[in-house]
Amino acid sequence: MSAVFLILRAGPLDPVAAILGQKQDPVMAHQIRLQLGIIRPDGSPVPLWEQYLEFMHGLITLNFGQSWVISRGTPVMDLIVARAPVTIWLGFWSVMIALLIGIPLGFYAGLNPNTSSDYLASFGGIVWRAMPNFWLAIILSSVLVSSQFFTESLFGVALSWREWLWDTGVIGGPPLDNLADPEQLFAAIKWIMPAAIVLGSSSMGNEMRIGRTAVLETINSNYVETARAKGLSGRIIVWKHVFRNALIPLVPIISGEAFLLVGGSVLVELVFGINGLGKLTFDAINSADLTMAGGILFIFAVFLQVMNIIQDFLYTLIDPRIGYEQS
Amino acid sequence: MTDNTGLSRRGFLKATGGAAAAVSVAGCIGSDDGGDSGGSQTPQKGGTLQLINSTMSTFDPVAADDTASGRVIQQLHDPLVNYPHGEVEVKNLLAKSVETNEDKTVYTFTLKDATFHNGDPVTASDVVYSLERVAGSPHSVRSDFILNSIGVTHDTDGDGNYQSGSLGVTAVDEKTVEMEIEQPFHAVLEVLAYSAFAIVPEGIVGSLSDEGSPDSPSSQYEEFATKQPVGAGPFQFDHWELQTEAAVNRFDDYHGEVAKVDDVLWHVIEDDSAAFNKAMGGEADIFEIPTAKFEKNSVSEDKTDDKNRVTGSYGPVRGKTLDYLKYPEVGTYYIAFNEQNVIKPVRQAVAYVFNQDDFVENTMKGRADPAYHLTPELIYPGGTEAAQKHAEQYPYSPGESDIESAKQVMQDAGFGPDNRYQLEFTHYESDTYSKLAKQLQQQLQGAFIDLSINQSKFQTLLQRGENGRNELYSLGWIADWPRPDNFMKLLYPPNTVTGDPASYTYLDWGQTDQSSAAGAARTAFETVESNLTPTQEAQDTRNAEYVKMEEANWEDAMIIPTHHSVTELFSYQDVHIPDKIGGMGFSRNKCNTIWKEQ
Repeated sequence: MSAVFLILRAGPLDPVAAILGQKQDPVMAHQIRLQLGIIRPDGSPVPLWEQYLEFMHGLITLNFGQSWVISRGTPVMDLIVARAPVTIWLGFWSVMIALLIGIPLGFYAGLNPNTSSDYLASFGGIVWRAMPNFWLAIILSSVLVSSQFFTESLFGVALSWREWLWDTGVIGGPPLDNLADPEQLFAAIKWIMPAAIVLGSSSMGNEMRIGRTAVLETINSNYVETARAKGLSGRIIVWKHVFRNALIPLVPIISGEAFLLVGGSVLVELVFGINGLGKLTFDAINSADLTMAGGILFIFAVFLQVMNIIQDFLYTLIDPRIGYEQS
Repeated sequence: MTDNTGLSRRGFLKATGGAAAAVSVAGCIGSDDGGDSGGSQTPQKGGTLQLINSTMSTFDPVAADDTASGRVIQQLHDPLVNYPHGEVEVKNLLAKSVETNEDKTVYTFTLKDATFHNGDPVTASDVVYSLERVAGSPHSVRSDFILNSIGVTHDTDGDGNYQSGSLGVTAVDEKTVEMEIEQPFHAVLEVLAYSAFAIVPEGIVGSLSDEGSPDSPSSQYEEFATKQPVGAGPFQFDHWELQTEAAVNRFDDYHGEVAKVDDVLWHVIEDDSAAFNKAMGGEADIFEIPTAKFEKNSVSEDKTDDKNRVTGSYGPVRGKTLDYLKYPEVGTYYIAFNEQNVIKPVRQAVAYVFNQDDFVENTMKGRADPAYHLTPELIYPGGTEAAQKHAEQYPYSPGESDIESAKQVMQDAGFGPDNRYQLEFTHYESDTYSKLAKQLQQQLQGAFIDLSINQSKFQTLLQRGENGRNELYSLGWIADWPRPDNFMKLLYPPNTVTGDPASYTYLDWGQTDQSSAAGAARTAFETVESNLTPTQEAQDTRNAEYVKMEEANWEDAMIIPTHHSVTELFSYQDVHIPDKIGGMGFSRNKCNTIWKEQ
């Protein structure tokens, strides 16, 4: 957090310039500096150490203050709370897509190595992995937005993605205030799906590849051979002996996807016009919005710690050899 | 080729001065609606007008300094006077009439019968309260406008802070307000037209001390600024979801023309391409198209009016044809020199090789107007036509890239193939300016100048400017109020001193060797400052001085204007904008006259 302060306040970034943009009106600049508390009413600058102490005091007491630049005067917490749901929704579905498609495909490929379906799945995995997020996002959003126009000129039938099944938008985030209503729930899922597919695509390919390797590794190990020699059925071998062991290398990969919420979503949120946390972080840092960046990075740091702890717990569930009691 | 198109448009305007006036009349009566082909022409009620906005921060008029909030505030709140449809001429809004005394220091406003959204009538005491908030609210970002720009009489404490309750605005009776100013000022109404001067119900957030500080606003203030703003505008507040959308709906008791559409809804989308996609999906009715997606050849222009506004159609884009409106804005972008760091022959050489017309036509895809004056054409003394006529006298080969003359100037100053000048161009991150820089670099080669390009963040550029380290740099200015003095203050040499926090740009003009041009600019601006009375006579004096200042700037080639910004609005054909938008921009337009076919 001290690094955040140093980079934003001691570096070349100036929140006042970011607020004013091209038009450097000295009177406005003075007034804004005064409101931000970086100068005193007589025009002398407030020393950095004083600003630093105030910043840290705010963080420690969980009083993040108000945004400096992005939405001046709005409490940082309000902005985070307003933006978090859609990012969590996006992150959740992109992880789900990776999990529900990537892992089964990987396992399938691993169980049937060197068959044509393995090649197809593996190749697909490589392609998904290699496809740049931003490119896929731009193509997908443009095509879906004008789906009627494109389908009409290609197939002669106007198919509207927006009206298909549930009436939703493409750009922007879905309303998430009433997910208990199944109609709204499905609409919200449909709305977020293109963005989630884009965001999940690379990790989907990742998981597929690692899943395949992990399965291959376990299936060729001695204990599986032993099990087979015992005469266990294929189903039991796969579910009891292979599956759980193959999951172990996947756990850090999956929990690592939590980082998607932080870093990877910036581009996807930008292209799909979703006002989420990723973009907020990017904007805050770029415009030297100290309070905003401080607050949001603080929360991210806590979130990532929690994810790491959950990951450790997951190990104990999957792999009985790992435990917390010393035997 | 492109030079020709640029010049021919100017020529065309000159030739059709009379016809253009007729077009503008057609615009006024509202029959001119861009490229509408067929469809109903009788305004219909109903529907939701969908627009795109960036992040809003507050709906308190005195606290907003961003365009995003301003767009919504414009619909919610009415000031005494405003810029109708963003035009640069001020009209009465909540005021029925405005009178001034003999020496132009007392303004008397008589109010219309108008109602706030909460049902209360708009009275003189509401005006007193609202203006007091502009001057003294801890949230106000425009106190300088009322206390210094307009100069309403007031008292200050020992530290120079405004003493609450001392503002020279008084309620004479229920419908009459008097405002006393310290000295006559010609743009009082232009400044009052700012949405910060909107009238809100008396006591809506309590007294000034009840409002809390920007760090910890009172709950009553927060309620007003973010949850339940009350004004007297054509729309009343509906909802605001931070980061997603904001909506207002029609106010049926509006004192003016009651809105046609039921609601106005703004989607918060900050990325240009995403906004374009949103619009393409039919989720925005009036929108802009980012330059990357813009096809110059898709525009078919129908008419150009005397304010250089173009209407026509655009498309087809993804199977649809759109209405098109292009309007010049009151803003100027420029490249400028620090006089301490760059000698005059070099400045002149740059001015010679730089070709405004070509830059605008090719680099900017025609999405700007070429600029020869710092003052935008719309507010230039005598108007667009006078500006274009005067621009013909531009001393550095207007409309062409004159490398020969540049070479000559440099040769005369003793430079040559073996004695080249090193010049650094610092521009802020912008596609257009980086193209401009490359072009200049190429052209200046022939004039014995090696241009090194330094693209930097705004902040860096400004910091370098303040430290006096810039040689050639880029910046811009957008009108606070649409009068030339607001631009000419950038050319007043004492306002250009680097290191002074009160300077407007970083020229250091006339600081070391008093050039005669710098002296002329100084005298001219001082004459303006001592002739601020809103009379025709004083205005004529000011106008003459403004032109002198522009010419002094030409002489020394301190600021080279590159372009005046224009905005191109695109709309679906079932959306009708009866009045063309003026130079103060669509963000200053009240949406009550726009209607949608149902």
